[in-house]
Amino acid sequence: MMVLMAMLCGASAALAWTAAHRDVAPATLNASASGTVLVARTPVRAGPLPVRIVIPTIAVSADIEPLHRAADGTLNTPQQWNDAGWYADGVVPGQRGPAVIVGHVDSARDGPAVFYRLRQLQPGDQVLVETSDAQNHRFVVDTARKFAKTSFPTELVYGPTPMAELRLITCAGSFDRASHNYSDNLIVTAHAAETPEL
Amino acid sequence: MHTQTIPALAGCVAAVALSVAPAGAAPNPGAAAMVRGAHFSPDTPSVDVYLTSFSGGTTTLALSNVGYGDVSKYQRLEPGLYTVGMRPAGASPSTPVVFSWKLDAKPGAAFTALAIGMNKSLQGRVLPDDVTPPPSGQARVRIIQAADRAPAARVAAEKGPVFGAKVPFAETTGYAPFPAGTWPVTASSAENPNVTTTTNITLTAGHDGSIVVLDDTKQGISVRFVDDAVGTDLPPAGPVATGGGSTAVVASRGPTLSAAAWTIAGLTFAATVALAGAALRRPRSQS
Repeated sequence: MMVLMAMLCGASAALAWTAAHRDVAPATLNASASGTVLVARTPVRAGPLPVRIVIPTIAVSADIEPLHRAADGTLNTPQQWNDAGWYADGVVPGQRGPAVIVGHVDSARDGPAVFYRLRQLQPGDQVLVETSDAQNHRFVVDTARKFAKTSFPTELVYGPTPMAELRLITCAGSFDRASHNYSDNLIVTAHAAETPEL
Repeated sequence: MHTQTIPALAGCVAAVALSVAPAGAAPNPGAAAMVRGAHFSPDTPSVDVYLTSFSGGTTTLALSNVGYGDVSKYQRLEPGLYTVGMRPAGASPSTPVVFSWKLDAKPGAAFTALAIGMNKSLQGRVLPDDVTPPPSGQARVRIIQAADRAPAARVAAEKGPVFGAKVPFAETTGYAPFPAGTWPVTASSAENPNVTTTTNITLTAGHDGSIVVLDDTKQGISVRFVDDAVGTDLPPAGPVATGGGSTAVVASRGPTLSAAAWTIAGLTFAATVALAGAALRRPRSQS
């Protein structure tokens, strides 16, 4: 089964991005109707940026795309099924605060995507994020929980934290073929491993 | 040296309970609690901070040689009940603590264990540190007033927000939201305008932090900002659409998944049967 899954992953990686995918951000960004000021799309960042994520226990090793907010305020998702995506207007992994990395659970037609096995992560599992300065930031999983998308825990994911943390997000639950949407988000929380423990 | 009972303790514990349970929800069950130490007593030498777990009774040296004005980094802590104690730096753990107090460390919550006040009336407190998101474009800020030279301090930005109008020495305020930006913040004694200092302080949107007022090394006072928690201003709205649906359980294709699901169901059934069998075989004399 693992071999088959690997083949499916490889096949979907080889496929070009399909325009039909609903997660594509609009090509142009207009001011929202409500007048809300949108954050800058390309903030000036001095420090290193995350480039790769490795999760040994579930055989994830993927490039990281920077992500921003779409015009409707939601988070864009990675353009490639087998890339992870980092919320680039938030926290850099390894720095204080909650860094957010998302990935697809599956593709539209070709089986599992980068975070398909995220559901298997257990507290204590390690997650490595490599930044552009060739540093590896090690995180340890604390919790993995499913939330209905209708009650997405924004504060848990993006709210202030005293220390360096990481959130991994993918889809879970049942798939609505009409709206092309899963019912739940699986949210994994992790803490930076180098932080002292008492 | 004696163990001092702190009148404010009951209030502190109540505040902790309130702050870590907003709307009845633990911030992140399964996560650790976080604690840091701070020293805000101008005439007290450096201290060591110890934590003793109620359950295990083991004592851990959490922080050593914490001096006046020091705020340590946070350390992770298994949630639970602890006693926090302070001893003079380098003192043996077998010697009595200067004072001790209770810490109810809830998952996902953060605390600052601090000594504050002049040495003759030294107080120990555990402050709950804010981890709630500020309104968009703002930071949540409290004041820790640890400058003996300003019996009551005014902390305000020129042509900007007033963080505290008259904060007594050895007191702390609650958090309040203020606009993000770099502010020239002046702290001065309400009684003696000659005791004053101005420092540029940058409040970052989405952060929670503390403005700390201290005696400086000469005759005056100083002011600085400490980040308590770092969050994301203007977080993306709502859930994340990270699935195409090709492995969804309801999908007509995806035989590998169906096989897996059947395997799990089969194993679960087998385990249930085995357990039920074991339960039936168990002697009933204990009932």
